[in-house]
Amino acid sequence: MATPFTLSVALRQLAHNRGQTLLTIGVVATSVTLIIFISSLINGLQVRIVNNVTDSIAHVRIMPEERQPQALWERDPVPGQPLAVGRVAKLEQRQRKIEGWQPWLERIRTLAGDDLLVLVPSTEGSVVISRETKRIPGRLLGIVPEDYNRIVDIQSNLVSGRFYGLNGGEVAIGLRLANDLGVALGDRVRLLSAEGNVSNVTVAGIFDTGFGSVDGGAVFVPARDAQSLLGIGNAITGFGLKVTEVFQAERVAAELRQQLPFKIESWMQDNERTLSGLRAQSGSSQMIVAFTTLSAGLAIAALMVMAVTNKYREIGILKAMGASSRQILRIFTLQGLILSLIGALLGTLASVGLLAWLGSLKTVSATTGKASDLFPIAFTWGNFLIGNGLALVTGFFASLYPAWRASLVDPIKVIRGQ
Amino acid sequence: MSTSPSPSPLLVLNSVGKVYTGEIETRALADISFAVRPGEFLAIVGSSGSGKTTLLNLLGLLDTPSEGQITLDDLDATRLEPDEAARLRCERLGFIFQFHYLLPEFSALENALMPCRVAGNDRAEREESRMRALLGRVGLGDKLAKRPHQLSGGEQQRVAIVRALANDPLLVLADEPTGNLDSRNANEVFQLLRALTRESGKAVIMVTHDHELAQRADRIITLKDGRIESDVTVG
Repeated sequence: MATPFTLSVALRQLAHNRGQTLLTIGVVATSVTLIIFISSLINGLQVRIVNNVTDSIAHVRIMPEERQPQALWERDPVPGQPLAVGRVAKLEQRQRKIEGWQPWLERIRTLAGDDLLVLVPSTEGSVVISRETKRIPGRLLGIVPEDYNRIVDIQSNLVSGRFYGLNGGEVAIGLRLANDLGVALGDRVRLLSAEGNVSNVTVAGIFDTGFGSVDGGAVFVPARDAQSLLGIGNAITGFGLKVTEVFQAERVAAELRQQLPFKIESWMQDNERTLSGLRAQSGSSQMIVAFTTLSAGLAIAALMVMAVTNKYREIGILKAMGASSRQILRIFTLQGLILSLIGALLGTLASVGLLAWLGSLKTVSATTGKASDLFPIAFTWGNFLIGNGLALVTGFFASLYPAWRASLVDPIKVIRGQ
Repeated sequence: MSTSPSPSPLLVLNSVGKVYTGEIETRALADISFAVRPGEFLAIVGSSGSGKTTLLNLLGLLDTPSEGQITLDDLDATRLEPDEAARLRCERLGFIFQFHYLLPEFSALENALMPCRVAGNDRAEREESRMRALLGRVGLGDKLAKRPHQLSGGEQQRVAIVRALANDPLLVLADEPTGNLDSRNANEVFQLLRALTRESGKAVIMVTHDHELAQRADRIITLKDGRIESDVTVG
């Protein structure tokens, strides 16, 4: 605990050795700035990557199970029914669908509980969209626009036309697909499903989300139109979920798998390589933080060892006057803490300023003209606490060795002038 | 060799010896016995290597004897734990060194109050007016806020003398207190030391190689080869 004596000596020495004090504070401040800046930048980068992946898809997708061929010996014998033996043939390509899906909607909502943010039924299938001689394969999505917009934000990314209130016989497509087809708002296009059904629809909305897979291949039509094109009556092909915490998607999916007779996939399964990259990035960030902390600690220790060496005579005299080794130890650990505290505060201010400036820099897309952040900054209180906490702990531990050396100064040697 | 005739001595050394062990064993002091009574001004003289500084370190509880016993204010101070020795130094001893060793970050008044600060802040607050008066007494009343580098050598040593009296010690230990001063300043500083300790009834043990200065003490102990050669009461 600091006493008026230890605190006054610690503060006076710091004020007296201004150069060394400023140098040490500079080392701590730079380290804290680096830790907060690197963490915020890498966090921001990760948030951007994750958002790029998850903003254009459902976090969890629920689909009917694929039918698998079954071997004879895997089947339970049904008494009185003969087993027919024949050759194994390729399964008939049939549209997988969920009939009577409305009760499942409530069941999924109950099972997902507080983790659930959005739940929408969807009707998806392959389609060829054509205009005159141009034919482009796409992904047909039969949706209720107002509901589906919570999965992928189309409405606020409209370039022209509308998305909400899409009527039967109307379609919303991405800007890239529209350009590839050479169509504009109000033009008619032809949709041909894999089942061979055809529908001529009017382009009622053109959007530009910035997600290539959505802008270049998604074909949004009202749910009823999609059901007709795919020939599945009132059935749907699956459910899409957004969860409150993206990184909990796999846990939610695993819990749903236990309870539902469907094939359930999370975005984390589909993007294992991206996640692996993010983990490597986190690891690199932690390494940078660890080495920065270590270098700051060593720098503080080195500067304080110098301070102790310079104060050798004064320490000896204080001890001769009756100062205990513990009091001397406290003087130098206090100095370590004071330097770290001031350095951490300055480092935090510097990093907040730097992040605010970098966060204000924008870049404009050459193709869409949309402005976005040049640096993806994600400043969190966690980064602030880690940066400052590490600085204080490092400052304290780095001062222990010099303080211990100071406490061992032999006043006799000082008096003898050794 | 003789011992002081005090009925209640402040400091008693009984057959104290000091041997430095190492590659070569060196005996620095042997069979040192004497007592110091309150208010006594004792000079320890001797040639270089006679053991003066070693003896002062033992008396100042900065070192422990290899043999014998030291009693300070009826307390066995022969072998104390470092922190216990530090506490005793702080409460009962005052030090004056050849070099003033003032702390450069603190003013003259703050330096004088430093032993009180070491002992606890309440004491520093209590003793501040006394220290101001003492600094005024040694002619530094107008230089209380000056830092050591703003004072002359003689002034610095005067601050050191006042500092030695800060905690109202029983015994002041002075190691060549005028050794670094010119003759005029040395005389002034010695007179101040003598006057201040006499007024407050403090005992002083002064190590010096200056025989002329030693003659102005109450008693002179002469060391030779680590032993007491003579113990003479002056005047």
